[in-house]
Amino acid sequence: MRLAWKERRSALLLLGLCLGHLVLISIQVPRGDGPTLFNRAVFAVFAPVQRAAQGLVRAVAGAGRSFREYRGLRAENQTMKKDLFFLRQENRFLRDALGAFRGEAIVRRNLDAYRDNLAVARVIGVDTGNPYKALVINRGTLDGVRRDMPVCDKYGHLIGRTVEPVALKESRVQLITDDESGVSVISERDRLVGVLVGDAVRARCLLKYIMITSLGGTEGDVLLTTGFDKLYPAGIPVGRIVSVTSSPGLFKTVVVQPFFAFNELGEVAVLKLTALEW
Amino acid sequence: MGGRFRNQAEGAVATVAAVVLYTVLGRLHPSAVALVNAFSIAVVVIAFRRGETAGALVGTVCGLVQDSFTAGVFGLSGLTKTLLGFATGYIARKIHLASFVRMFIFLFLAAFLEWLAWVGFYLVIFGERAQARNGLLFFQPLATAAAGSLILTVWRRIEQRRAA
Repeated sequence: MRLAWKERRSALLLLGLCLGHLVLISIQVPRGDGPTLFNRAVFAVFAPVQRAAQGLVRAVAGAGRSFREYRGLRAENQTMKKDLFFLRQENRFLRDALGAFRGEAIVRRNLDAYRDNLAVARVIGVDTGNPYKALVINRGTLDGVRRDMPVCDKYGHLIGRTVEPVALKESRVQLITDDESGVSVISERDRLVGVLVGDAVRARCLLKYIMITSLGGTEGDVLLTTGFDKLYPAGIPVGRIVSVTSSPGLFKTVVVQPFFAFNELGEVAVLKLTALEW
Repeated sequence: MGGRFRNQAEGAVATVAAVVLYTVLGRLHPSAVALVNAFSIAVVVIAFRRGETAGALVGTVCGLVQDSFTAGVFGLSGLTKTLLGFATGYIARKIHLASFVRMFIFLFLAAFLEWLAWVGFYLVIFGERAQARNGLLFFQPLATAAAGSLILTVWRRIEQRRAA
């Protein structure tokens, strides 16, 4: 009798949990703008554990290195790395700015904006469902990170933007390869404007809405952000066109390979200004 | 009372261990999280040791934690892992699974069904196939079964040695 009640209780619990999950799933389908409060709460509770684990791994790895390296040398190395990081961003931006024939004053102003509003972050987690959709980084609201801030790799190539949930010391980054991502871009050579959307299954992007009659869009052309989408500042390199095919219909199929290398995304830069502040 | 506390403590430790393992694997190589699902391992280990109720509860928590780290629909892994925890705990109580091989086969079947359910739900909700990441995702049930049986065998040996 006791066993039967225990089994019935377990079955009721399972039923309750499954119903709870189904309700949770159904209120998100079709998916809305942001995560639920419950989702945010779970992320806020467990992201620090992930961060601590990441710290522990780094500490253990660092301990081994410390035996071999002189302390001062390491500190100097870190400073130089940081300088190199900023210099790469500067260099990239300057080249793009020069390419677009911008005035020196605008370039200088934008450079200053970059320097003061750049947060170097470390990738602490990847999306288990599909790594080309989202990442988790170790910078959050305490570091001045908010939603919709552009995120670049260490070479200054665009990788995505911060999205909810943004916790105190962690935040999620939606990659440009995510199917739901959209970036307004322009090709460097042909000045062809289009919308870049992700193709997470194939780890690449597609340039949408390019008319079949359009002359622009050649293989090898580099794509830069336009800033028209009010999400990303203009001039950030995004990727390179790898193929252009004219399929039946109104638009061409333009495949773009993003510049960022997923396996090299150890360190990233968050541009701590939203579109309205650029 | 002590048993219940132990259940909860084991469940909490397993969840935290899964987060740590998931983070370490993600750092080693992003594709490693497709091959080894740390959260499924935690669920089958707890369900096997503590029964279907603990299995379902740990499955819920681990699934939701996994969901919170992904950009997909929140609750998808929660549902499949709850079913995995319950089924593993329930069946493990009914049949004799002392040997490593039997345990491995049983856990493989359980993990495979969970994986199948997850892929099915993913297809229904997103209207697209889950990314296989060079076929690594197909080996996930195998890796879960291997790691789960190994942990359970070692755990059992330690307990036997302690009792002796």
